[in-house]
Amino acid sequence: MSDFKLLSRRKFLTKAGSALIATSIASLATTAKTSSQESQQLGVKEWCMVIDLRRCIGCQACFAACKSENGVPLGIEYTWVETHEKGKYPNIKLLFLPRLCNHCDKPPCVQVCPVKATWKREDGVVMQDINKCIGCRYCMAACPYGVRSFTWEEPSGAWFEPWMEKATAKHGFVVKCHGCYHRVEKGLKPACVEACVGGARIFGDFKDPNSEVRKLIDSLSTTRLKAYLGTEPMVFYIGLDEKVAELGRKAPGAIIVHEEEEEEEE
Amino acid sequence: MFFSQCFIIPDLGRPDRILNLILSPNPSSMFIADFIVLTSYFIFTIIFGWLTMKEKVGMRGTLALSAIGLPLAISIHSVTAWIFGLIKARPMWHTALLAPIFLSSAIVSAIGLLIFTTILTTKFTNIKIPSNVVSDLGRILSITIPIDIFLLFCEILTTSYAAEPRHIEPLSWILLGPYAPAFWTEVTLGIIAFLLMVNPRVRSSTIALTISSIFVMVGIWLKRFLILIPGLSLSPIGEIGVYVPTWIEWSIIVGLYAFGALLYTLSTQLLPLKVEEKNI
Repeated sequence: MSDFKLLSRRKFLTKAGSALIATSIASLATTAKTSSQESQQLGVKEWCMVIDLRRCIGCQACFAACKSENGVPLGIEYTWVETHEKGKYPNIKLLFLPRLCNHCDKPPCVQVCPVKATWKREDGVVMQDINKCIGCRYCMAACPYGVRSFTWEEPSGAWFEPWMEKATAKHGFVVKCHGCYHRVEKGLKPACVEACVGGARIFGDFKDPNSEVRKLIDSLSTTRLKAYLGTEPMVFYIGLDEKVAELGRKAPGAIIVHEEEEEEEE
Repeated sequence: MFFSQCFIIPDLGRPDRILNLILSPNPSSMFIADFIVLTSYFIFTIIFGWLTMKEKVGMRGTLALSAIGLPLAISIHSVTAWIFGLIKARPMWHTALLAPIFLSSAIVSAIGLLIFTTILTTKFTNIKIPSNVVSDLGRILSITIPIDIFLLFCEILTTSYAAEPRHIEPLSWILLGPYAPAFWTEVTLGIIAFLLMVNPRVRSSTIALTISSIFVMVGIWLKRFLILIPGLSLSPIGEIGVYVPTWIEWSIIVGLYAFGALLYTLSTQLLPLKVEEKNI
């Protein structure tokens, strides 16, 4: 029994250490990349994200950073981390799954929107025009990832700061992750990427063969959520568990126990 | 027609922006296709009603117009089914059978409504409609109800035989889970309505017709409920939602039905409907 504990603690320490080193390297690499990107601003990029689940500790920092960066109203999340419990003691593991808009290459939401309020930018970001949206919520039904939300009530605080100046209404439309395009356009990383303590979220240009994301995608085995639907999601996961990929729960912090798995092991 | 389109507007988050449907339509959206077919059908019914009531066209003209109206009627129900059936994110809806199911259900419930309103109209107004018309409608029910149940059976058999987890989960809710009472009520009502309509002698009685028409209307309403609510309450990421309408939503629903009933009542009084008898 104690062997298991020791092993897991040692594993944890090794992981934490490597994560720390990886983060610093990643941040260094990204700073270097940003300066090189400025010189080649003309070429159209295709933004994508790699989420290295081996580095994710489920701290919800990305969720909090996103909420404060974009002033996301109460009850709505653009990104969140699911906690899954798998197995039975002593063979047990907590698995984390950060979710966000997958900025699909073939987005079903864009296909179904009746008024062209949602569209795909050239750089790959799936955008939402809150001034055009009629609030029919068809895109929410069509999204296989459940990342679109409807604003029911008028928000009380300052929110949507990049949008609000031009907004003609404050509720009654659909909102979603816009890939922090207001930051990316200034050469910054999205808020969730910036806040990730383990460096699990890596953001970059899919078209650039030398970008960190492409190096990871090309050299490691990656999984995309519900790739069988042909939506071509642009968020790549490293070390994704099959069970976790299909089922989750939106409430941040809630632990999802996979009971069937427990029964099998008994 | 007008009444049914009124239902869509309170469902929008921003009804004030509804003109965006015309200003910036997205042709790949089924909502736009639905908007086009519903509007054309609406215009068609006005023209059709005006021509037949004013006796501008004879029997042959009416038949010729029906040749335009029938494909239009099929298209509105098919496009409405495709709004759901083309959504791959919702496994429960994503079936090619949805359009035929919508069509057969629409015929069943429309005939039910027609029987019910015809009986009420003959009872409470001086518009007289021959009773054999009503029992003929009942005969159509005895054919269309089995077709509707057969299509439903095909869908359930295909899903349960393949037993793909993401398909079987919403289905098991309907057959055995929290939605089972609604489902089995729907099937029972359909079978009783069919048994009442299949015998020509029973079919001619007004009581049997009334019971059967109410049963199919309730049954098809439940069927629609079972397509919409379980399809939406299991989110694509495994989240389970529970939907209970608020008092505002209930009052909107009641208000809309009352408005529809008012429209029908006014039309029986104001439109020259008695002319139809001569045509028949």
